[in-house]
Amino acid sequence: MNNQYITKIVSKEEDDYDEELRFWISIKSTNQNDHNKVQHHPRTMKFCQTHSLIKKSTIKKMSIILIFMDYFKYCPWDGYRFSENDVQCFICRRPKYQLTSYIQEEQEQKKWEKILYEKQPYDDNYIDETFLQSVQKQDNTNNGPDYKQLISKTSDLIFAVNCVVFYLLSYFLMLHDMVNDQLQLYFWLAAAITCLIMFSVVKKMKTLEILSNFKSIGIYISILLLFAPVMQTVNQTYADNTIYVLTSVAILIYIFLKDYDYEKDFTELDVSQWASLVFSSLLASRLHNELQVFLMIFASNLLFIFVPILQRSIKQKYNSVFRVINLISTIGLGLSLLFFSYFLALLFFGCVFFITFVSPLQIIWLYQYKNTIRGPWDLPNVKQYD
Amino acid sequence: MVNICLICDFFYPCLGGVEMHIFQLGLCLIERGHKVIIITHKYQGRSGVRYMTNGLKVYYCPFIPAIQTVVLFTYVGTLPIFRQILLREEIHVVHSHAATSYLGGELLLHAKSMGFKTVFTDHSLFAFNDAASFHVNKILKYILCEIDHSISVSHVSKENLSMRASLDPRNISVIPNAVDCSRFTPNPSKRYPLNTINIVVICRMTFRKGVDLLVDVLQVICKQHPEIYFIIGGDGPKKKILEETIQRYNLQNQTELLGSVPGHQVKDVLNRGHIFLNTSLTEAFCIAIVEAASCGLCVVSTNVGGISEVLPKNMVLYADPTPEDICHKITQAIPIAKNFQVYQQHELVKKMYSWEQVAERTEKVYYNILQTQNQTILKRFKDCYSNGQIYGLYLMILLIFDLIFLMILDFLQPHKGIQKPGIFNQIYKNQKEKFGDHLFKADQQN
Repeated sequence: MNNQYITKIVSKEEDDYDEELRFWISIKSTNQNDHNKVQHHPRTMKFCQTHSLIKKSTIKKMSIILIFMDYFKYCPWDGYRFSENDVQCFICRRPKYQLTSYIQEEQEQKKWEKILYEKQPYDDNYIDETFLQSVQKQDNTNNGPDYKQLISKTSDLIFAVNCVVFYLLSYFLMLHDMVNDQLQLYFWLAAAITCLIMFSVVKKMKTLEILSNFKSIGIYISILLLFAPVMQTVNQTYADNTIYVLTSVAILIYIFLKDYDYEKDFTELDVSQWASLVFSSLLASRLHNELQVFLMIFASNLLFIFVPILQRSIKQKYNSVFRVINLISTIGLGLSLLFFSYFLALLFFGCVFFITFVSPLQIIWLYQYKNTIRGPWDLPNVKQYD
Repeated sequence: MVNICLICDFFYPCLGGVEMHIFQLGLCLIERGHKVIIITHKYQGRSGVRYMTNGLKVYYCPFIPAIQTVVLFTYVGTLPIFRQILLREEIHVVHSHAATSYLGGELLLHAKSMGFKTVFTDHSLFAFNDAASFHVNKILKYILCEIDHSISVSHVSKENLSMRASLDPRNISVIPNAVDCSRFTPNPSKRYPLNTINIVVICRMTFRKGVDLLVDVLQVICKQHPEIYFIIGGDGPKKKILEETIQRYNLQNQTELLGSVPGHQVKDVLNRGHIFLNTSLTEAFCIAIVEAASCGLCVVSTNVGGISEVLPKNMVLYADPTPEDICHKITQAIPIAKNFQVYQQHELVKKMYSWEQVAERTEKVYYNILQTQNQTILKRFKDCYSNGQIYGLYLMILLIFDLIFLMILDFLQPHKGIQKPGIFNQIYKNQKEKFGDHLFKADQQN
């Protein structure tokens, strides 16, 4: 049997022999120790030395192969009977000289992991299927804010606009001497006292506190009276047009930047409140006598700085009362504007309608374009210390 | 051999993560046989050309920093000097770092006009929903619309960069930062004070580093565990809050504020501790954690950004960014820290990160882009226009100005007239001991 094999190999054509040799060389030998134990078969040595391509290592391999090849007539794993030309077992595909080895499954490429501490057998710019899966895009599953809720929130804005229009109305009356100065004085003083009483009632203040409030208001009025002549002369040199432009800008700043959530403490003046002081002093410079100046500044302070404080406490408890007041004042102002010009009344009602009914629709329409992207790079909500 | 130009606003004498990254990358690329120069703006008392280790040439250009070491973005002001430098040194690749460094961004655009290949590395994460991020992202989108390749330091950073700048993710490679582990070796004998579990915190005291969380944690932990001692190093705008908290709750016995720690003393501070605490709110790749792990400390960190990719799960205790969870994890870490395999951890970390690997991967990026062809001007215009219909037109006008200015400069300062610089002679590399380098003989000192 031995001789048969060797003679067969030797007698083959050179090309076939090379192929089979290449086949044997491509299979790795697992037993390194056998190199030393086994002697090289002399016939193979002689044959191989004639071939210049064959290296010494392959000679060793060949001799081992040739010696071990006939040890197995049957495959020990599945009982397949080897025929003479068989190079490997037909069923389990093990090569004939490596029958004691376990079949090595093709090593699956190691799965890509999102780690940096190990060099992975992938390119640096490899894109995995988990790419961008941690990003959450907030698709608008809820259809935005409720229409009715938005309408109720616009009442704040309408109230601010009403205050401004009322102030401008009384200024206009004063400027053109349509109403007696004394009447205006009584009116505004009465208004101030009413506001103070409402404030005390809502906050449930004790008598001492109420009296101290009265005292502080008295001090405040006397200081204003002192400074009225100064306020009159401060902006007198400006031209009329400048005054009107600056006033309009200041009014817009007041309305847009007003703190409608009443979050801030009332110890510091907001930007919007400064703007209200600005436009009241600008308008006051056009008036004729000091009493009017005092009244206008007092009115502006009352309407734009003190009334929000009152508004905050009323809104917390008597929300519906506030809404009713709002509604009445809007209608009253609109009707009184009718006396002056139809255009103004139309403009006023148009504005109120737009703010109350049309802009909530706009917000709801815009909401479909809202696009927030959240991912692992967002800063978490942490309580901040200042 | 590739001639590389690294650009960043942040470099020595400023010491931080980005600066160290640029320095180490430059040195390792020189070791691999390339030529590296660095361009920054001038610092106090440093202006002109300086040579650093191994012939790393640094150009401290006379650009004036506008806000906190970042140069004001003047589109054409930097072009003449930059053109001179690139043509002198015969650069092939221009590599810019850091998204907030506008010197790098501007010079990237000029390099593209001159026909060089450009690479950008991003070191930080930006969210999408605050006002500062909008603007930074918009400008980054413009700077990166024509870039050849980008590199990010972690997988999360890659996702973030591809979303911010609308880049093709196949053009972004992930090459992590590294740490020089030979400089951060463990030494348990240096743990001081004795008989306490020492927790080390070293960070810049800003909002992003989670100082508010640390304040809450201090109060709870110091009360629950009297055997703990906090060693807090670092300086910044929020340091006052820490001092106030310590005074208010009488924690002077259990805490120690070190102030700003210079770079060469960080290792000593780390060696004093058992546990390292990191409370950052967002982090692309936290080098501090790796340094601490290399020094053999047990690490407790918030699980934000790219931190979970940096070290294997058995080396770090991850906590949610809430004070309660951090305290819980510290309580878990205390018994672990008492019997900790310090030297084993150092060996493990040593195998994970090295600057040589970073340089090798970066070099592969350079070779890849050098094989691609240059873009035509029409393609560049299209890229500009992709930024927006009106904004794109404005950017195209800027690009035209750039090209016209280049033509004028070519006429006034022609290429042939530019002098070539002297080459740094690296003969000492062949015989290191002759020049005093005995590292191959002596053991590493602790």
